[in-house]
Amino acid sequence: MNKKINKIKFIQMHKGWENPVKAISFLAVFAILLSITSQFVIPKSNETLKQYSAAGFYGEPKDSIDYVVLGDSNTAEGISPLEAWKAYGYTGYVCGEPYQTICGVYHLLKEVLSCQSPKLVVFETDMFFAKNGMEEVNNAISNQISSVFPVERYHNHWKHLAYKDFISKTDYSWKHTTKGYKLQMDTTPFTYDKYMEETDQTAIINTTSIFYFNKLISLCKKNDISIFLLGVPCATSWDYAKHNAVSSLCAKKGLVFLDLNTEVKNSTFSFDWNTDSRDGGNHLNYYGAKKVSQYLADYFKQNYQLPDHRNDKSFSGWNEDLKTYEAEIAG
Amino acid sequence: MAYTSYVYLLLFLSITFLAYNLVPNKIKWLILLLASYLFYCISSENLVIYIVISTLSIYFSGLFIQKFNDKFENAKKYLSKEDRKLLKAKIARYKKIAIAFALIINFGLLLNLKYCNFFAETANSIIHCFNSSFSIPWRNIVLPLGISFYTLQATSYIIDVYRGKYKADRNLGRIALFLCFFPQIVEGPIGRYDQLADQLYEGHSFNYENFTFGIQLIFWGLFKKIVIADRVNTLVNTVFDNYVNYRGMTIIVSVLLYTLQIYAEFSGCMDIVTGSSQIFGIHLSKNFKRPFFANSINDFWRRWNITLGTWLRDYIFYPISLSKAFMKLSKNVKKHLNVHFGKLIPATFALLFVWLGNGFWHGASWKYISYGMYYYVLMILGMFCEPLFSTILSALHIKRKFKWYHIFQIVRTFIIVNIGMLIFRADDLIVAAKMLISTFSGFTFATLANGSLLTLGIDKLDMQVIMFGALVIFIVGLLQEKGYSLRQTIASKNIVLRWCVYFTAIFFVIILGAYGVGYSPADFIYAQF
Repeated sequence: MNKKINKIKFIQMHKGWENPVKAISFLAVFAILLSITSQFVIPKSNETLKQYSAAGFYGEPKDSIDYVVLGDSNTAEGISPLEAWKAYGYTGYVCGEPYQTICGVYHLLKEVLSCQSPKLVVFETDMFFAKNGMEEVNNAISNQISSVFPVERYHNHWKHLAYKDFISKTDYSWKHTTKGYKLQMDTTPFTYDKYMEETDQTAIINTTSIFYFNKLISLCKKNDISIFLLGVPCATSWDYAKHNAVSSLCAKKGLVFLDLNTEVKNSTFSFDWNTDSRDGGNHLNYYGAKKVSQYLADYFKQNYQLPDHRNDKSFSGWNEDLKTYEAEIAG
Repeated sequence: MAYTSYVYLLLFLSITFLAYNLVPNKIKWLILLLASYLFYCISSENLVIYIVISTLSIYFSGLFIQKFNDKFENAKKYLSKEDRKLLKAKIARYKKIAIAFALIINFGLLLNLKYCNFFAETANSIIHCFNSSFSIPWRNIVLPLGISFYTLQATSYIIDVYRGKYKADRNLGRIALFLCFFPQIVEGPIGRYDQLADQLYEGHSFNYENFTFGIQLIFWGLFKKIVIADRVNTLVNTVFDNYVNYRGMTIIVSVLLYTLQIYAEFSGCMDIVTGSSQIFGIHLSKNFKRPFFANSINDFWRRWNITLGTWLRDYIFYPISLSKAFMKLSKNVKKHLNVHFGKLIPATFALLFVWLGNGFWHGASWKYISYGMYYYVLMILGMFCEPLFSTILSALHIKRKFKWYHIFQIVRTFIIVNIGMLIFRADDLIVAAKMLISTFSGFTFATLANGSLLTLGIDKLDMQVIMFGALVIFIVGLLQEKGYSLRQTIASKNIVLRWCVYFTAIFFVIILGAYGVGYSPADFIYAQF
C-alpha cells in the first residue's frame, strides 16, 4: 500500500517537473537543429554571403584594408575605392547592401573587424532613414537572430542546395576586383525639381537606429577607429530635413559629417545631375562615383593619416585590380 | 505591428504572456488591457482616440439603457396595467434615444472615416453629370486600426443590451478590453460580448495544454501566411496588375491562386490570433470552418468569415425578415399569390440589406458592393428556382444524397466562389468582367506545362511549395471535416514521434517561409478593411 502511495507521489512530483523539463529540452533540440540547418544553408563562398559584393573584404589579406565604407546601395554604387588607391594608395572596401540599416551595419562591421583592422570607418547616412520605428525593431531582432542562427538570413538558399553544401566547408577567399563598388555605366539625368530645399524641419531618426549607432560608436572607439559620416549625393530619397537630423546627431556625438548633397547644392563640389546619375537621381553612375570617390580621397588626404601602399609589393594585387577596373570602364 | 513580425511574436506576445502569468489572477485583465492599448497605440498612434470614443459611447449608453430597464422592472410591480404601458412607452423612447446615440457615434465615425471619400466621389460623379464644376474635395484619411471590426463589436453589445439579452456592464475596463483585445483588433474574429468579455476579464492560470496548442496554432497560421500566401502574392499581383497581357489558363490559375492566397492569409491570421489568445486561456470564436468543402454558397458563408456572417444575420437579417411589416407582407403573398414566394419575400428583402452590408463592410468601393450583390443575386436565384431544381432532379432521378452529386455541389460552389474572388481582387467590375471573358480566349492546358506560369514572378520550386502547401491544407481540412482532431491525435503519440512532427512543421516555416532577402512581406488583406 505504502509502495503504491509512494509511486503515486513520485508520479505527481514527476508530473510537476515534466512540462518545464520537456519545454527546456524542446528548446535545446530546437537550437541544435537551427545550428545544424544554418551550417547547410549558409553560403560556402563569401561571394554570395552578402548582397552585391559586401562580403568581399573576407578575401582581402588580413588587416590590409585602411578604411571601410558602410551603407546601402547609394554607397555600393557611389564610391569606388580604386579611385582613392589610384590617387593616394589608400586601401578601402565598400560594404554596401540594398536597404541596409544601422543595425545591419553594426553586425556587418563586427564581421569586418574579425579579419580587418581599418583605421577609418565611413558611414553613409541614408541608412538612418531606411525603415520606420517598428520595422527597424523587427529588423534588429532579425539581425540578432541571424547572427546566432544564420538560417534566418539564408533560409532561401534551400532552393540552391546541392550535395556539396552538406559536406564542404566555407571558403571565404573570394576577392572582388572593384572592392565592393558596383560599376554602373548607364546615365539617366535628374531634373532639378526639388532638391535639398532648405528647411528648419528635422527628420526623425528612430530610437533603434540611435541605439545601434551608439553601439557602433562604442565598437569603433574600442578598436581605435575614426568615424566619419558621409552623405552620398542622392536627389530622390535624401532631403534637407534628413540633413538636419544627421547634422544634429553628429554635433551631439562630436562626429564629422560631410553631406555631399549640400556641397552639390551649393556648387562647392563639381557634380552634374545630368551626367552623373544612372537612374534619375537615386543612384550614381561611374562618372558620379568617380567624382565622389576622388573628392573623398582628397578629404582623407587632408584629414586622416592613411598610409600610401602603392609602392608596397604586398599590395601589388591592387594595381592588377586597378588595371582590370580601368579596362572594364574603357569597355 | 504585423502578427507575423518578430516584434509581435518574440517581444510583444512573449512579454505580455510572461506578465500575464506573473500577476495574480484578479488583475490579469489589466495586463491584457494595457497590452491591447499599447498594441493599438504602436499601430495607430493618436487614432486611438476613436476606439476610446466608441468604448465610452457604448459604455454610457449601455448604463443609460440599463438604468431605464431596472427602473421599469422595479416600478412595474406597483403599477396598474395601463400605467405600466405608459411607463414602458416612455422608457422605450429614452432607450431609443440612448441606442441611437451609440449607433450614430459608432456608425457615424465608421462612415465618416471609411466611406466619406466614396460618398464624395459618388456625389461628384452625379454633380458632374449636370455639368457643374463643383466637386467635394478628397480627404486624406488614415483609418484607425480595426475600425470595421470593433465598430461591429461595439454595436452588437449595445443592441444586445437594448434587446435585454444581457445587462449592461458597469465595468469600463471590461468593455474597453472587449473592444480592443489585441489579438482580434486587426482582422477579427468579431467577438460577442457574452462569449468574450468574461473570458477576458477572469484571470486564467497557466495551462500547459492551452499553451502548447496555442503555439501550435500560431505555427499553423504562420505556415499558411508565410509559406503559402506571401509566396503566391507575387504571381497574383503580376497577373492582376497587368491583366491585359494574360488570358486563358493564366487568368484561371491566378484567380485560383488568389483564392488560395486570401484563404491562407485570412484563415492563417485567424489561427495566429486564436493561438495567441489560447495561450492566455482565452478561446475566440471560430471564423473559418473549411469553407471549400461547402456544397452551396449559403454553406460557404456559414464557413467563411463566420463571425461577420452571424453579425449580419443577427443584426440585419433577423430584424428585417422578422419585422411586422414583412411578416404581414409574407402572409398576404402566401394567401393571395404563392406559398413558396410568400415564404421567400421577407428573406429576399432582408438578404438585400445583408449583402449590401457585406459588400460595403469590405470596402468603400462599388467593386465590393458588386461583390455583395453577386452573392445576393445567386442566393435569390437559388431560393426562387428551388422548386424548378427539385423538379429537374426528380425528372432525372438524381437524389441529393448521392455522393457524386455532393461532390458536384462542392465543385460548383468552388467555381462560384472563385468568380466572386475575381470580382473581389480585380480593380473594378469591368476589369473583372474582362478577365472572366479572357479566360475563354486562348485557353489551353499547355500553359500548365510550358513554363509560362513560371515567368510570373515565382519559380518552379516556389510553385511546388505552393502546391504542396495547398495539398497539406486540403488534407488537414479533409481530416477535420471527417471529425478527426489532428492536434489531439499528435498529442497522444509518443514524444519522439510528436517532436518529429513539431520540428518538421516548425522548420517548414523557417526554411520555406517567403520572408527576408528577396521577399517583401505582404500586408494582411483583411487588415485593410
